[in-house]
Amino acid sequence: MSDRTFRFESVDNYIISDDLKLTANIAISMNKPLLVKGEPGTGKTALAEAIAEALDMPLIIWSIKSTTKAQDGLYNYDVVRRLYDSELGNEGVDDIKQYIKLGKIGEAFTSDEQCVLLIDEIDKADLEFPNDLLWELDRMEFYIPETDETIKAKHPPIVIITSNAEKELPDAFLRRCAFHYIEFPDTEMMRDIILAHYPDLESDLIEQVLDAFFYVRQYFDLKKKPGTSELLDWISALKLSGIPTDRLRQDLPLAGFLMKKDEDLAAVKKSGFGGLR
Amino acid sequence: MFLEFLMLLRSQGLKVSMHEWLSLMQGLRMGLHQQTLNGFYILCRTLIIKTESDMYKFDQLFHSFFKSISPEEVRQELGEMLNDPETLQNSCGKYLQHRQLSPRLASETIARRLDACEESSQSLAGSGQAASNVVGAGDGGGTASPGTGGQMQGSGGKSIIHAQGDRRFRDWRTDCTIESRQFQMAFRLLRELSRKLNASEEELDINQTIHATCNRGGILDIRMQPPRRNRLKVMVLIDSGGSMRPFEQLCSLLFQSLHKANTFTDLKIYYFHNCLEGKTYLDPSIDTDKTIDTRWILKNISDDYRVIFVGDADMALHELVSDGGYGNTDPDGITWFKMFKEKYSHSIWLHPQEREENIMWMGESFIEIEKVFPMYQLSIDGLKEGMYRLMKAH
Repeated sequence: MSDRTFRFESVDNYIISDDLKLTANIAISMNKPLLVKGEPGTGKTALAEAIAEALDMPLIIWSIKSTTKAQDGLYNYDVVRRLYDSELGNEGVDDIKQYIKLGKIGEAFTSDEQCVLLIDEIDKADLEFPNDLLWELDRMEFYIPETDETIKAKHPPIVIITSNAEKELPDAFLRRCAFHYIEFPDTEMMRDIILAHYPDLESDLIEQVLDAFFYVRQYFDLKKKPGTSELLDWISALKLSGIPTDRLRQDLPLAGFLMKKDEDLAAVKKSGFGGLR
Repeated sequence: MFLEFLMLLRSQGLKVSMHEWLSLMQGLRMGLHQQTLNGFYILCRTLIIKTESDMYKFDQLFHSFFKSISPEEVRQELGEMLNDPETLQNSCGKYLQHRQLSPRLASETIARRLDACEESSQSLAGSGQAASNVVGAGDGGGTASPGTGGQMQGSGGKSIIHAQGDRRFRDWRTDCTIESRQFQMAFRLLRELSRKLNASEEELDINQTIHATCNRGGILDIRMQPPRRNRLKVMVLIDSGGSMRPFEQLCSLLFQSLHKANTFTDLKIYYFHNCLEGKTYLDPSIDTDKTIDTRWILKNISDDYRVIFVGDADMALHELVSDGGYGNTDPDGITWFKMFKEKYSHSIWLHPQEREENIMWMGESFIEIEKVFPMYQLSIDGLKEGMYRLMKAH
């Protein structure tokens, strides 16, 4: 039973908290979409990649934009091309199927093996967007009226949904999801994460970096606090530049990798960082 | 016992429905909590809680509910089950098989384990570390059926429940005051999209055009439609200066986000000082040169505007209710407010300060004004409620 129930263990370069691991496994075995929220840069998207890698499944990513409609994920009916074809008298105009192109959900449903479907940043879309997907995600099937066809998932995909909490999601949608909020990693976990990405980093550099990083997060009132991905970028920048790293916290070199907003950089500079002290 | 927990969650305002409940039961039956308390906690949280702002509340409730379960209760329930081999076989036969234990042996183990748990929870009262060892040991041995695993360890690892009391989701509560972005999100609720605007303006209706063209066998047939716009108009009256000074930053945030939201057909912002008078100011600095007759507003601004008052509603009673002395022919404050309410049926009042538990502790003027306008606190929750109220037809 255990190998079926708890299939997802961590992979090499993605460190995961026990809570999240358990949550992910619960969602997987109960066939519920897993809704992941958290600060930007805490690895919401990376979770789906990690699960796909750990379970050795293909990953299908559907990135949501503000203009995305639910229909786009299911299928597209290319009416205009059909119109052109009919004017030019091309072959196969009668075959509507030819003009139906499956979207990401359609792709995941028709896939021959079980796959991981990542619906990235669902809150970017219109308020009604999640409601339009209720049926499809619940029943794992949808209907194409043009061809009178029902696409039913051959192997229900593992659905991971990420959200930055820009918009509230509707209750009916939430009810069907398992939910996890990724907390910001503490020092211990951050060390593990760094080691997972840069196994050969010297330990005193790691300590320096962590010290500076959490100092910046804690003591400055920043508009956008640096996240894990910023930290990893910063480390690789530090490595490439070869800047001496013994006074990281005082000098904060290459701070642009940590802070992306002008005001934030200015605030840190003003308080005496960036080589002034 | 779990049903009571559900009721507790519901009574405390968490939206838990039968749907979540059945999922939880299914999860327990599948053994997804791994027979540990923390597993059970996560399983509950995953399936029941859907937003980080509820997590703090959930933690508190989980803590308080499972803390109050006494070992005796669990002992009794388990005892009943042990004395009834048939039920035992039914509910945890699979588990026992898995562990290769005979029901009889299992019941002995359970009884022993219970004793040990009780003993250690007495002797090591409060020491989380030690108690969690007991729970750890419980995992390896023979705890009861998956369905009751949570309770079992609840009894022994009482102090592990204490740890749940100290969770970290406090920051996400939505009843505290807010940032500009969240303001804007709330204002988005205020929309009434409609195509029935003035009919002169039109845009190409692509879908209809394509369909019409196809229907005509490829001969272009252009269809137009009026654009979809938010046709909501909003008027905001902000109390400025005086007692509002401590809330200046909050009000300027509100002001900025109103402008940034930029989704209304028309947005009018006026200022008043403490209480509505014959003149209303156009500028937050309360410059007497830049004023407008309050009557002019009432006369010229149509009644389909949604009106939001912002202020602490803290004013001297003589400002609010005057007896019309000193040859003063202007209506008093409360009459002004009532005139606004009468004309603009969709109007609310937002107040920035914390509401006292007992309404009588608020200022007298606050109570008077609450009789005229529905009042909401200027927090995420309050603002949202207010916006819903504004959208509702009266």
